Amino acid sequence: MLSGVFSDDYPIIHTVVWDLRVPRIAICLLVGSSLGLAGALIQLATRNPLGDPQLFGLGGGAAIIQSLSIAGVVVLNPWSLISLSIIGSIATAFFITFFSSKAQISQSRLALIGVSFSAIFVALSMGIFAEARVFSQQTIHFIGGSMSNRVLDNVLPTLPFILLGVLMVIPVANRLNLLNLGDRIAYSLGGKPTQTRVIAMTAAGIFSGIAVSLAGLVGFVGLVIPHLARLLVGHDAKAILFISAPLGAVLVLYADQIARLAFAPSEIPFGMVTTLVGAPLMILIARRL
Amino acid sequence: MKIEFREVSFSYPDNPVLDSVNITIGTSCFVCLIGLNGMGKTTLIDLISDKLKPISGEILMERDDGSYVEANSVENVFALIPQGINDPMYLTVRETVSMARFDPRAIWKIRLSEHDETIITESIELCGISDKQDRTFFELSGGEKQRVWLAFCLAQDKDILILDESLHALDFPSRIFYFHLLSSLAASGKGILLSTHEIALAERYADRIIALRDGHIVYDGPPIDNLASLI
Repeated sequence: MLSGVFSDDYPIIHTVVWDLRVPRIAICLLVGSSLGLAGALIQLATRNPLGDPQLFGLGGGAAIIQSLSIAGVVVLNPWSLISLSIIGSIATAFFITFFSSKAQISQSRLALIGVSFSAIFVALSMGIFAEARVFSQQTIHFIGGSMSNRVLDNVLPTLPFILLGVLMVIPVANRLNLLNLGDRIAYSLGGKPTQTRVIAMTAAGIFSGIAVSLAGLVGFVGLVIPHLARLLVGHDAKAILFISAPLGAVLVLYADQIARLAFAPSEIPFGMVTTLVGAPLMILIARRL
Repeated sequence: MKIEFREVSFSYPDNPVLDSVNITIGTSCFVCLIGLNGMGKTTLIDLISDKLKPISGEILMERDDGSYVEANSVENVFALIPQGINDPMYLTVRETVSMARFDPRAIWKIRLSEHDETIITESIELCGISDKQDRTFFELSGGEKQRVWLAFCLAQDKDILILDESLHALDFPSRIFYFHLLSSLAASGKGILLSTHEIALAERYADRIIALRDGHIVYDGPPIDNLASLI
């Protein structure tokens, strides 16, 4: 078995491992850590325990471009498609943050505007699918969130964006803690609350864009993970961000296993699994607010 | 450290709030700002903390070495408790006070220095909440929360504290404790500006009283009797 993995003597094993399993695991880890980080950034930046990349519409730009691609309206190679999707998401995040600010960005405004934009983007994606008359497996997998039919070529274009996102998060991680005390105190301590929030939300846009580009619309991972992180490491923003990535990766990896094997040989979108786990949890959190 | 108002005026559209106000607030003095609701107390504090900009006049902040704090960069100059503060419900007392040691220049600070820890411990002790350090805000009474915020201010180790606080949630002993503590802090060198409705306590504990009425300063000086009739 192992010899088949590392040599070309057993082409079937080689193909299964390197062309099917390894890319899929890599994508699972990438999508999970991106969603975990995006969720943590949103929850920290908005002080909203219900912060989630999908609920806040941050992946909107990516969703539109991916829908156009699935519908066949735009035809692009993987590099341009994924880059464009992520750039679209950055623009969306920037847009939502900009709309939430007058003098300063208030948390509740950000949440309400994000949710509204999210609804618009989902509606537009559906519209694009309907207009192009595609209701294929691919559409379901995009809406439900799925890692099937992805290859390593889809992963490489995300790497520069991951680097960019991480570089943006590091300088504001410490300042995100101060937002807990309210903007005026954060400001008086030199914590630049508005700038911090814009940077954190833009980085969240990058990570949401990566997740949407690779796996479609995946709900509730970004919501659940930061809460799990708080239970494990407490309330320091740096620790929450640090642990959210691996936690998200593990959750998505298991969700994808369940999605792939529970009804084998047919495969359900793994977003269904994460939603089934995440939605009840969200109801629990909301009841405690 | 000195904060100086020079001919500062502020108005909302069709609603003048402050008219040519001149005051200087320095260290080693407990100043109480009194006045009825809507007479400009919070506006004055918002002007100091850069939330509002004066329509005319200027607010100068002079450091001890004679240099001035530049306009639009009043960050990190004084400790502030604004009105309507949001309690970080799930943080403990010590975690909250620790945030006072935030350093904007340190990008990725994992651990507080020993000096930081000492200041945090001292501030918590001074405010009499040492035994509640590990409680979260959920488990604190109104009076205890007030003390946490005061400890938070002290831990910033600034010369001047600006407190825009509603003390109405506090019982009488807590208010006396609060005023007494502020008065002793001023005696040890801090400058304190407290906006308050507690005229009787202000008369007893403050070093100086500034009374605002209709956008003007109607009294500025040591406590005197009958302050209530002025405002």
